[in-house]
Amino acid sequence: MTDTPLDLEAGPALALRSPEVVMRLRRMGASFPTRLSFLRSLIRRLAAGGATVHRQVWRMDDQGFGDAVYTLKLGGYDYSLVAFSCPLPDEQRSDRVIAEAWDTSYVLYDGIPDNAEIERLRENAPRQEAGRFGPRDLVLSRANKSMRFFEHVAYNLAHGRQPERDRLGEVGYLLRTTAVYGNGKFGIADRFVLAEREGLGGPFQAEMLTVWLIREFSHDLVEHVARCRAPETFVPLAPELRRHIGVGNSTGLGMAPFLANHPQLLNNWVLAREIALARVRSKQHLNAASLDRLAELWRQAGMHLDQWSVEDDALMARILGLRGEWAEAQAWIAPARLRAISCPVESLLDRSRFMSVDFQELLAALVIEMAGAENDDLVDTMAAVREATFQPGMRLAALRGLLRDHYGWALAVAFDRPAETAQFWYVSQEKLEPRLGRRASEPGADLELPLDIARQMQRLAADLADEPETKTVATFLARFPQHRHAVRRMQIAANAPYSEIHDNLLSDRCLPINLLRCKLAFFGASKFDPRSDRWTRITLFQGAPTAGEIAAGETNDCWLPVLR
Amino acid sequence: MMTILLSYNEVQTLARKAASGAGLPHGIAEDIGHAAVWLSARDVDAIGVVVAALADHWPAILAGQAAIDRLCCGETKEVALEERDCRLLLIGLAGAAAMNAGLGLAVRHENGDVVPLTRASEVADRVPSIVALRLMPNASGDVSACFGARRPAATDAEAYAAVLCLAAKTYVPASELSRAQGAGAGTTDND
Repeated sequence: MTDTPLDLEAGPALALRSPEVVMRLRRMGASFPTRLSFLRSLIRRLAAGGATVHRQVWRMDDQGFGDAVYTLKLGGYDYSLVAFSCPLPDEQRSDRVIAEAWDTSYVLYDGIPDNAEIERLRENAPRQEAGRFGPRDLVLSRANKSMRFFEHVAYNLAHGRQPERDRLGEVGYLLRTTAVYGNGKFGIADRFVLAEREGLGGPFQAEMLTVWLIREFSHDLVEHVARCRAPETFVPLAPELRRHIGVGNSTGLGMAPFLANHPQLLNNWVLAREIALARVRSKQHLNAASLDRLAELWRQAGMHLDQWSVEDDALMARILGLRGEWAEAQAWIAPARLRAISCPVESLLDRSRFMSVDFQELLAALVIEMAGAENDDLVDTMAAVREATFQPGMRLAALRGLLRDHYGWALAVAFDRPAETAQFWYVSQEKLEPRLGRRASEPGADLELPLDIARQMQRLAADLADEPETKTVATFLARFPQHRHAVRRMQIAANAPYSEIHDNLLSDRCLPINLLRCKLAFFGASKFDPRSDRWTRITLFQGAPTAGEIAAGETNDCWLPVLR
Repeated sequence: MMTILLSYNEVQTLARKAASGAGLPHGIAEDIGHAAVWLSARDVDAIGVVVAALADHWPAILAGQAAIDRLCCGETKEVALEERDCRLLLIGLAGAAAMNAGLGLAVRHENGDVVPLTRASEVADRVPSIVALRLMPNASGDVSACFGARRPAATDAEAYAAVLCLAAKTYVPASELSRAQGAGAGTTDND
């Protein structure tokens, strides 16, 4: 892994999309997973490393309550998912972070736990945030059963039938995680412990491994319950249905400020995707295999869109629009046409500028997918061990240049309009989680989080105006220490063009769901299902190989799952 | 003495929040978070250091950070450590800054000796007689590493309670409105 930003000047010039285009909230909220997404890179690493999952412990009663341990070796290290399943009254089952009890809880453990360690985790994992964890505990998570689907599957398997395909398509998971904690939370291991390890060094790889193993546990758990109910008539899940059952996830505001708080990391993620896109765009011609792949992926995306339905009116309208555009543009990819022109991918992408942002982003993800392994080297550039070095010796002339070159979007925000400061971000005393309030009607704006990047830049610009250009940042900050955070961000932006979201996060137009979708797409999520503009359900690993199939690597449905 | 074992992330987050809670600018609070990690990796109870320094020593922290900035860009050759309660925090701020810049950190003692800090364990031992900080061209020894140990030094339970109180000053109490809307409850919480 490297924390060195890619050198944009190296190699042949690539036509990267401008940050002014890419880093708008609306476009970020139209993100689709790509081959570079974190769960995809994990699957490839697991396959390449010949990972074999062993179920070391399975102590479940007939109702499916008890504990289990799954172990695998990756990069020379053993990792274990320690899973606990407990009875949970229906009235306590909630997706929200305010919940205090869950159907199941998990720890990804560094090594293979003995009985004493399992007992320690049994005391703590079901309590989640109220528990206390140690350096061998790598990830902490919990999940609830899908009330729509778990019992349906258990019932049918017990009666010798497979679950209904429509129901499977509608839900897509048996268990739904409501938090996946890593990097030192509640005493668990810090990320640097994993950063240098082969296999789990990339962003969120330990979290993705945890979710992949939870998926395996969910398949085993529902089969166990069904088998215990009716051992004589029980049938296991059919492999193609098993593969289509992913893990649900509910994600809310707790995740939303992450992208703004990690500008270098955000840049590295987006830059890798944009370089991949630019490489594909620069192709002079597509060979027959690429044209076939393009057509195959186009069909897959169309089927995925047809199988993606949500209750949220706004997103459903977008999906319907996208289905129509996708069908309309089918003729664009006719092989005869694409063979006859130079730079066919560039032609497709240019043509897409007249379609919706959703269409443009789906097409971008598709052409990256078409290129296959050609861009896999970029995965290793997506981690950021730490943010860029602060430069107190920079002259104010240079700082002004950064402001002009990278923050025009911020300087253009009209903060004299109340709508531009209508919202404020804060940390809730009750849940210690980020929340979003209305400035005009809610208390707490005096304690708002520093996510007002555009406003900070304007204030910095005002105080910079009368300062001599030859002064250093050190001298300036000695007088104006309140600008230290903004200066640091500007210095990061100098070498990280995609480090800033080019929208005002205080505006009444700011929808947190756009931040969530962007981040979750980088995880590899699909089937976004917003429950409001502040939290969403998603599905992870739907269509991905199960533990029994991992040796064969990625399936055809890893990108956008389709129930065939 | 009761202690609690935190992760580095917890040390950093708590130190940063406490500094914000004490009223320091966010950018300074971020640096205090980094300084806490640097110190706690060197066998220092960084939370205790931060709590002590945040008690009415604002001007010294701001002046110290400004001096460290000048040190890092060559505008001064030395940072004097005058306020005793801030001394370790300023060493942490300078240590983290030097580490990020790939530089070494040296200390000047009361007797005039200038000694490079090359071993992590030296930091706490040498503090009582340190009067000034200097930078050296190259970092060497384990003091150049971000994390000297897999886990931070243990945190005194009283300091932990105090840092939680300071951090809590950044939190907004819940209201009926925030409970209903702050997290964006949808039509259905469950499925």
